Amino acid sequence: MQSKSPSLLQGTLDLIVLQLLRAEPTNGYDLAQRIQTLSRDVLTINAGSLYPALYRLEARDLIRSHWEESKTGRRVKVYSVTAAGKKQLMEQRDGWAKFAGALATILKVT
Amino acid sequence: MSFLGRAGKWLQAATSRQRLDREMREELDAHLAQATSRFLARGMSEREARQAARREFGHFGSIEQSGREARGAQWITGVGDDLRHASRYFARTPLSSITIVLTLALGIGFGSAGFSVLNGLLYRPAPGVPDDPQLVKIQGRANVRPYARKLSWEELKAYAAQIRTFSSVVGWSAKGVVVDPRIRDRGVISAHAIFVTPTYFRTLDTKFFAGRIFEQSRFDQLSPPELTAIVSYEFARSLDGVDAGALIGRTIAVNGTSITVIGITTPRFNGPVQSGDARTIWLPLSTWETLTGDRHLFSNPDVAVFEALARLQPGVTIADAMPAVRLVASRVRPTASTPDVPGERRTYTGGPETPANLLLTAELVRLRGMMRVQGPYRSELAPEIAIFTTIALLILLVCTTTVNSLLLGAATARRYEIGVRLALGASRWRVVRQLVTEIAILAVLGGLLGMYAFGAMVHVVEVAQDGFDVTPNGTTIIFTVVYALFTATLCGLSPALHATRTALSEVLKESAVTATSRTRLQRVFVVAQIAIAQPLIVSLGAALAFLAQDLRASSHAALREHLIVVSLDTYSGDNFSRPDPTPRLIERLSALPGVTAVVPRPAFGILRVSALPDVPGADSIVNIEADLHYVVPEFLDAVDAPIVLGRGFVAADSLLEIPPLILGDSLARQLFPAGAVGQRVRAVVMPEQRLMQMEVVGVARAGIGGAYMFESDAPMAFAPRRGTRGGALLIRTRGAAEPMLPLIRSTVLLEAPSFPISRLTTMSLFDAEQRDELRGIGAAGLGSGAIALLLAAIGLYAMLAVAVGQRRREIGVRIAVGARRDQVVGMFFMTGLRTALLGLLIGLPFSAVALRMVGAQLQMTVGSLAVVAIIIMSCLVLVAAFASWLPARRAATVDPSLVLRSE
Repeated sequence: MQSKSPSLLQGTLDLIVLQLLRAEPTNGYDLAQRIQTLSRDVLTINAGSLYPALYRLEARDLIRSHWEESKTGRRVKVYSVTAAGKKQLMEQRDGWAKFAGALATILKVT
Repeated sequence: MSFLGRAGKWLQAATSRQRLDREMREELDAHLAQATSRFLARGMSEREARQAARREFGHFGSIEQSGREARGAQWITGVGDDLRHASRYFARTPLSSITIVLTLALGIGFGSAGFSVLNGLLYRPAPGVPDDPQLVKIQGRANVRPYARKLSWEELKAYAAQIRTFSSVVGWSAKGVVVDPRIRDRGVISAHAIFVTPTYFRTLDTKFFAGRIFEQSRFDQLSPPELTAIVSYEFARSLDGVDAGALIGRTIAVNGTSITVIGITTPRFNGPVQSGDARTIWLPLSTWETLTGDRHLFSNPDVAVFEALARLQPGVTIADAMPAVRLVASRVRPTASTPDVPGERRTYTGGPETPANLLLTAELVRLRGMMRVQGPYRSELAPEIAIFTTIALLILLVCTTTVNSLLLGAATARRYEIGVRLALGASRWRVVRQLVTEIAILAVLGGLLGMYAFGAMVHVVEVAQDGFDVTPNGTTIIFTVVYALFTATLCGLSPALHATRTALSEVLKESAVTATSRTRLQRVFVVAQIAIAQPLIVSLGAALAFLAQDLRASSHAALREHLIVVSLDTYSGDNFSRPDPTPRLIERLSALPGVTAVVPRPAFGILRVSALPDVPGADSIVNIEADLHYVVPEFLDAVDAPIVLGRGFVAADSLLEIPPLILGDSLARQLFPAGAVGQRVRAVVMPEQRLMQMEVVGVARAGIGGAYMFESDAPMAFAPRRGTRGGALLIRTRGAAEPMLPLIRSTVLLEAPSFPISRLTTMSLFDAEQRDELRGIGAAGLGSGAIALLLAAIGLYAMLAVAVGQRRREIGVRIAVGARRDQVVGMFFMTGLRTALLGLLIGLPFSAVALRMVGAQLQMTVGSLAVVAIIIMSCLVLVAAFASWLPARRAATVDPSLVLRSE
């Protein structure tokens, strides 16, 4: 659960979602699993945060969705990044890199 | 994303809400199923796996809710929900909803009708004139009263020469003309002619009901005369028996010259400046000399009769154009100015009347309903606007107070429902928003209803018919809606906040805290309302009683059956230079069978008696006003006003040094109780405003008013008449006058064919018309009185309903400890009645003052005023009692066991 893991910084969930969806379009459940696996169980995103974030990004036209059948034969909603989403991702990534670099420097020199 | 794109998304989210919800549920279900499969794969039982998946997932409902919110259209769907709730609530309480709508219709409607008049006067052009910023009036100004002046042909041409400023200039001059429509049995008629430069209709872009514009097109084309005319739709309609469109191509005669009608304008178009006469005919300026015989208009720079408007070149603003206009105006000789006063053609000739500091200018103003007060002169309207705004706000205050009370009552009745909604997790803001939405809907409905109702009323008033456009347009509708929403917030917010404040536990325990201070405030409002309404109702009642009295009896009713008035227009066109038709008409009409006398109708003046020099002992300075009638010697006999003392007038009276005077009997008694004949008075005679001495030679029995006047209630005096020109005749018939009208009409048409008949009626027919009008006024007065009373009653009702609702627990306890139900009802009833009586008591002095004023105006006796006042007071008390009894009765329905059990 999220309470056990470090809380996400404001705005970073959008960045993570956009980054992972750019790598591969997928559905909400798989996305949550992938975040958990890739972060080695450090980040656990619950459905209460994930789905509103997906809907918000969709409402802002940064991602789009379509329905398709999964391997198990179940109908699932698959999300992918739009052109606007890719542009937004670039900007956020640059911003994040600068922020992380600055933070690392501060932690190192003090 | 752009705003439009986002709005589109919102709209999409709002409209396809159900589909999106369904898809979201399917997606979340799929998520749960996938999680369950994961736990199953770890070896859990089906049940355990499902439970674990649910635990991991969280609360389904709140995820759904935050998902919906994330879609971003929550407020739209929220408003949709509010509207649905509101419509359900209205259907449940139709009576109170209708009451609220009607009350608000009154309050908002009055304000928005006033706004639409103001909008029509100050911000909209006259009907049928385009609202185009490039169209401007060139308004001549002077620095002395009346501050407006007309232009000479020379000045007009100078404006037209400013081609870099104006793309076209229009000039026009109005004049009364006589039109012969050349229809069988239809005599000549007077009309309002506007002589225009050929640029007029093209520049104004006037729409036509039928036909076309003039052939001439150059601004200053003065010859040859183009003998064509364009008439207003109202003019075409006034020729009964002729289909408006069929007038095109017909030849009519204007001042005796044949003219072909080539066009009819759309209804209500009457030029850019209101003229007060919708029977308008437009003629090319080239016909001016032919039709009026005036040869000086275009050559004499001292004749200034033109008004002008212009279309600015594209891209040129009023500010850009002003220097050119000022330059032209500065070259106008001050002697050329004619002040713009209707009916008065005073010219500043450079003589003693011309003010030494006379300064002429000109300015450009947008085409508006009331251009006279545009620009720096707009402040002239300020007092009227201030008075109207105050009245509108007062009415709004009364209405909002009443609605506020009603809403508070409704909210008290709904506190259980509201409490449950709050308990189920609705935020307080959400419930408040719903309550305010409800009242906003009612307010907008009421506002629009009121706007149209008052708009129709304003339309009935003649001012709306020409010159001003007060029909609701986009601006007035937006104003009304905004005004309604403001009102809704004003009267809906506090009951909503109040209703949602109570904690749920208290509601469920049925022990809502009594809001004593609020009830007290409301009581103050109700008292004020009754105190204000009372003088209004009382004075309306007095006026109505007077009207009823007036309708019942006219002192000269029998005589008025035998009198016909015929008036001729002897001034329009070239009629002024024609010989006076009256002597010949008197001769011909007198010879008709059934006619006993024909006399010129008196010319009217006012006699203000200022001193009685020869009355010993009497206070010789008086100030009595009487109607002064200038009459021919035969007149008094013809109208049954015989001389009772002294003598009548004789032809030789004009030779007397001191002018003779005959007094009506009531005036004679008032001035000289000891005998009037031979006495002298010093009096100011209007309209000449001359102070003169006159000698009373006789007294006539004329009563109050006269049999031959349209409106009269003043004492009368008579002086000998000089000259007959004036064109109105009074015809006395032996039998009933009405059947004689066709004969009189055909005789006048035959004998004076070039003089338009402006009025032909019997005095009793006129009375009947007058009575209809009075009845209309009476009904309107009764209506407003009833509304004021109803408002006060609703206020009282609402106040008590709230009190009963809030004091249920107290009522329950009282009944439980042995109070009888009728005692409880009596308690509330008396509270209501006491409030009403307090209001009545406070309003009493105002009523007395109002009654005195109305009574003095209508010359009613103190006795009849007192009767009216007592009747109305009793009505007020009865209505107040009824309004109190209705909610008080509800107190008896409180079940003590229920109330006490829930404690």
